[in-house]
Amino acid sequence: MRDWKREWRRRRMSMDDPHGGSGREGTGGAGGSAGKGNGGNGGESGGGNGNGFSEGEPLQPSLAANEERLGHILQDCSDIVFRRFRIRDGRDALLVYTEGIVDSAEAHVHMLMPLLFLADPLLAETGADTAASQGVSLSQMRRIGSVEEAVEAVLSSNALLLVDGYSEGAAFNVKGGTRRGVQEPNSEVVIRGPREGFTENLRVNTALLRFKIKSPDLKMVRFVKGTYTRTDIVLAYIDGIADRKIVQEAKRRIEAIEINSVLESGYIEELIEDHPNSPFPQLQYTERPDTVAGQLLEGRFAILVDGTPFVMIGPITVWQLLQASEDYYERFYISNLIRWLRFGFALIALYLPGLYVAVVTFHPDMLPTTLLLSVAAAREAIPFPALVEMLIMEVSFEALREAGIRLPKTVGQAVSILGALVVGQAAVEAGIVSAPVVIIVSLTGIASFTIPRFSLAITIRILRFVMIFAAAAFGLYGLVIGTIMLVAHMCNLNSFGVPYLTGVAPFRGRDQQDIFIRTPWSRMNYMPGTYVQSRQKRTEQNTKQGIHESW
Amino acid sequence: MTGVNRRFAAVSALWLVLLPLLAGCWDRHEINDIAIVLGTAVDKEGTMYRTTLQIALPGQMSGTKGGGGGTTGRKNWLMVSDVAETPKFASFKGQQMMSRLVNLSHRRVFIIGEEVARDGIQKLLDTMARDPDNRLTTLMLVAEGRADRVLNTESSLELVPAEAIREEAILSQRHPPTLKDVTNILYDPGKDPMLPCISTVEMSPLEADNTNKATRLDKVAVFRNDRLVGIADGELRDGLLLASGQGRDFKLLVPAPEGEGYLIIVILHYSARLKPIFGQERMRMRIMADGYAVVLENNSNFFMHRPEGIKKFEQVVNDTVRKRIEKAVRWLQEKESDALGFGRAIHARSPQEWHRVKNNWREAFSRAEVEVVTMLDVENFGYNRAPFAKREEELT
Repeated sequence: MRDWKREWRRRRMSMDDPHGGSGREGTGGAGGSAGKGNGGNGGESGGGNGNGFSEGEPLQPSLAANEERLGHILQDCSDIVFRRFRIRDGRDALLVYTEGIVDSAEAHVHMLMPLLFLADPLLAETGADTAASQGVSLSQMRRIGSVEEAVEAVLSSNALLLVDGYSEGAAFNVKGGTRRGVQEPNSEVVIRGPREGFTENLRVNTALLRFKIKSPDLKMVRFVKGTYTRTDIVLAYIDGIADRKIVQEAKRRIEAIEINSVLESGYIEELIEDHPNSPFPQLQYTERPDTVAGQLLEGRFAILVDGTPFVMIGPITVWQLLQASEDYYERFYISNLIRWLRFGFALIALYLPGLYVAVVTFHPDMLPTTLLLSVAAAREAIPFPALVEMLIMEVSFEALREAGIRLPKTVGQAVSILGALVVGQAAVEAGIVSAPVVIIVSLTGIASFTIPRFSLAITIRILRFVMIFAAAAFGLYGLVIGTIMLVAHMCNLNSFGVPYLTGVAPFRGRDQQDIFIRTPWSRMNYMPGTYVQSRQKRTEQNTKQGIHESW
Repeated sequence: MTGVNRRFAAVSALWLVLLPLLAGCWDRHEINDIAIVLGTAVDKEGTMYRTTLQIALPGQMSGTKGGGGGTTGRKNWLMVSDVAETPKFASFKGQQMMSRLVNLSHRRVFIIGEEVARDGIQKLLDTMARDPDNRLTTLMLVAEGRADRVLNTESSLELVPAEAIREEAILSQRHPPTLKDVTNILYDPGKDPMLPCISTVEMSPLEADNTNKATRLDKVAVFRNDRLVGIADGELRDGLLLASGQGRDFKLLVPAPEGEGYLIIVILHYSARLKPIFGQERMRMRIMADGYAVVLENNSNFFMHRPEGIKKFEQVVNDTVRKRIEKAVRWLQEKESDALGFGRAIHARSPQEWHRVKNNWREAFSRAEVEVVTMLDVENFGYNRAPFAKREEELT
């Protein structure tokens, strides 16, 4: 059943045309229909849920009927707890919650205990929610009117309270359960900078952002996606800095998504990016709250997905992918130097193997003579053409890297020793590959690790092979052609309407403060222009240094 | 997207995919399949030319061991030579003896045998302009005697003789002429080529066997048009290098102005300018030599550290340089070879004057009156006043 995909494609087509189809007919989110087909295309999605209930089915006044209904829907779900009890005033009540994702101690202390022992008998007259709100000492409460809402509430860490005689229930948010705590992010380690990283828990993640940006302008719009997973998605942006049109477009695209499951932000990324077929990432992802906060403050939006520590940021430019958060924390001299180093090594990661193949097979005249002689000496006994040699090494390096990522750390070391000894040294000694190729492949590998964003590093890894083939077919001419096509493609890309090379193409003088150089903070006065509604300054006045002028 | 557009896109994509396959990598040569020529020597045999190619054997060099080749007993290079009517064709015949394609792009030196040079080098140059494989920055040298002997002289300091010869040439002159320079000069009637001239000598008398041969670059070959007319060595070569400003860290042995013995100076920041003087009946040319000299050794009993001593010494230095230059210029005038480029200097200063004299340039040049002005200072003659380890009383 791939209907949601087809539907999505149709929506995407209409999205490309800004004035065309509204693309909004499916508002399948925000606590609405619990995955049963919404209106028009009802019946095809959500198959497999054998306990179908019709949309908007109300709760019954009878507690027994409700219990029977819910018990039927949630049958064979051994993690759902039904607790039947009698409130102090004599009415029957039912507490339903999912074990594990609810803080049961809290539910006991603040719901069961007061209702069983403390509740005022006179409250019986007033209604379930009043009873609850008076008797239960919990802050987050929601009224539940339908069976569907009730199920949704139970499954998303609420404790549901139903009282006999009322066709309305009350859901209390007692989110609990154990999830990983806030830890240092593994994928983006810094020397200087905050050590906290996002977790799998959406609310912890939003809190981490809120800790940093204590402004009412930080908006967090919630969506729910995934027919089965009912995953919370939050679109965060700062109202007044972020471009309203871009935020609007992001909302529209997220709303338009229809998908069975969202297990990682990557699911969303592929569905909302502008050019799904491009090798270049059009959204940045990060595990670091400080990075997200920094990007929000520059007018971008962030998409947080429950269940994953990776938060996506958009719209992005390629320059952003070459910048690490530490660039902004270290002093600007070293930040600049390291940034240039990174630019240089990004080029090496992309071109060096191709350049070697081109020079060795087409243009030996371009090497200095002594270098040519050593390369020729190393290649003397090699049975393969330079292209094949390079491919052997590159592919085995990719395999080595892949093996190293998947394996546990202890075994990983063994793999790297094997790789270094067998693939590297033994292959050279046996005369299967030449030493210069090993040097180039390892240098290229190191270079690709200097790229701070893994998503761009992957792109460069892919394109490196394209460059190798272009070089093997046409030499330097092929490399130039490849580069022209690459640049043309990058010029054509955009991320939520923002050109991928913003700052350079289209050129913007003010953006130069933070592309190839990182201006000191005292001079960093302008926002990256494209994202901002008005080309505004970062602060009302320029950033001021703390020291006295006369010093 | 309409159906037609879609089909068009598909077809063009297919074309794009196929284009690389059609190209077929025609220019591709693996490094294992080329013979890297590092030097060429051209000699004459009767009316025929013998071209000798020096080809690197990278396998013998075993790159990792670095310099100091020749210890293994087998040579790092291969000499391939053949005889034909033209030098280029001789090298094509050489190709027939090799399994790898000759690649000229790394040729370091092009050595011309003395006989070929006397016969005229223009015949060698035509192919250089036509064949794009040639490196125009190849250094050109003249060998005293046979060029292939020189090219085959093993140097223990470099991997390959061609490389050793190139380094020697770079050390000997400020700008040793390249193929491009020589061609330029031959086109210009106001200048004649002057190439370094290399010969084979015994390196040291310790061992009499053949491995002790070395190439020595201590001469200069002077041409009239494209023909070799003279080889200068000793003081004559000093004069030529000084007059052309080509001397590089030029060391000069100067007699002590008083007393006995010699002093050695090195001339730094040296420049020699040619200044034609117009308006006289005979053409006059002034050579202005400027720079400063540093004393490297005082091997005499001359005491410099008096103001008059310094003056005297400067006088001697200037005289020595002037005499060398004058001698060299007279020699050039005898040979009617304008290797210093007097004509070019006139052309640059006054084109009308040049057009007047150029048809009769050789004769005008040989009769020209040359005046040498030297303005060398002596600096840094050392703070120890007397020659080291010599008491002042012993000095004059």
